[in-house]
Amino acid sequence: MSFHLRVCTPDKTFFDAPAESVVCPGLGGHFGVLSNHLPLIAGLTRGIVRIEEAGQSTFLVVDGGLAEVHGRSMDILANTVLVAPNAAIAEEKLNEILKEKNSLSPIQ
Amino acid sequence: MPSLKEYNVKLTRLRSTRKLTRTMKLVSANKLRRTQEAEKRLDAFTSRFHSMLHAIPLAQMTEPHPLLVPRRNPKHVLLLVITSDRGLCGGFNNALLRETAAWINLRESRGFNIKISCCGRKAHAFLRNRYAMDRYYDQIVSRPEFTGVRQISHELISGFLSGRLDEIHVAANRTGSRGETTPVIEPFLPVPAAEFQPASSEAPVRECLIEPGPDALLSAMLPTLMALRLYQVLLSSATGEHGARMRAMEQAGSNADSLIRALSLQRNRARQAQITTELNEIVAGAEALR
Repeated sequence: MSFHLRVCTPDKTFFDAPAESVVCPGLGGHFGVLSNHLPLIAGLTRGIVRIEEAGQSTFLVVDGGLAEVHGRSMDILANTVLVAPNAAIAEEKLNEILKEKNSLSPIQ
Repeated sequence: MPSLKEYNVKLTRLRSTRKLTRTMKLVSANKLRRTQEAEKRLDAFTSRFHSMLHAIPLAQMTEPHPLLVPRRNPKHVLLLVITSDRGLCGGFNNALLRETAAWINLRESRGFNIKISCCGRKAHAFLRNRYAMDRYYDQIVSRPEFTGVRQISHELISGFLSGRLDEIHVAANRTGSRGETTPVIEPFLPVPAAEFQPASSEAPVRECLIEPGPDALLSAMLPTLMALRLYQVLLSSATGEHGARMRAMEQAGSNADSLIRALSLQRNRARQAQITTELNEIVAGAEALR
């Protein structure tokens, strides 16, 4: 069972394809989404979105954003997205963002 | 009367100018198209972002977010002025800068402490010696993109939250649907009440989970909303700039065309005159030899 996932920033669409499962860095901790999830709106923090489809994983490093699950599709509107081929590189890129833009996060 | 050679030199120069204006017009047209596409993408993104936030049932914000609260006695005001980096675009920058200067003078005479931040070289060049300059954001106007805009917006927000600034306004050209530009100076922070309405009570509220709760989510998304708004202003200004440059180049090109036409006429006359004189001299010489 898969659902449709779209990940975009104001400048570009990074992912527009079916996905079986998605793990997102929510503001209140990571959460996973499978098909037929309840309608959900969640704020994302800086972290790695992991997308699974047909045994393949895609890693996207996001710099905060908003996710919505409704019906059989999911939208992620992110501030910045970096594509990483595997978990290790994603981790590295995330650390880079964390270091580089340390001043960018703490607005509350 | 200038000689034939001088005419030729002038004509060559004019023709190369004509080529230049034509190229610049084409380049501007291309940039205009790109900016308009970016604007369209941003529009789609923003409206989806808003529709998600509107799905949140009206959060009874027990304590309004600090970005929404006007200061009681505002004193320190920051004005972010957005112009183009380059000239040759008609009155695009001048109209805005004139309006900006008038706005600043009025506020200063009322006792506000005004600081200026700039996007765009033209604003910087015009304002830096007249008013207190806060920041100059280089390289953002020519190719605006969201990451850079977010940084600027973030700096503005932290300036406001730290209490260093009481009000932030943005001065920029807004572009209408037919490409006409109007200078607009509008408040950016604190967020104008009309700007931020989480959800009207009549709007159909969809049943859904909200992580991590309406209040916290709205607060966390406010900086992004502000960045989106600034991005939209920057793109609108860029669209206006490229449109204005296209029109200016079109005008300059047709001026060059009419100059070329007038000058070639004169050049041909001069050439004819020269031939006539030469013929006369030859005939006179032949006469004398006889």
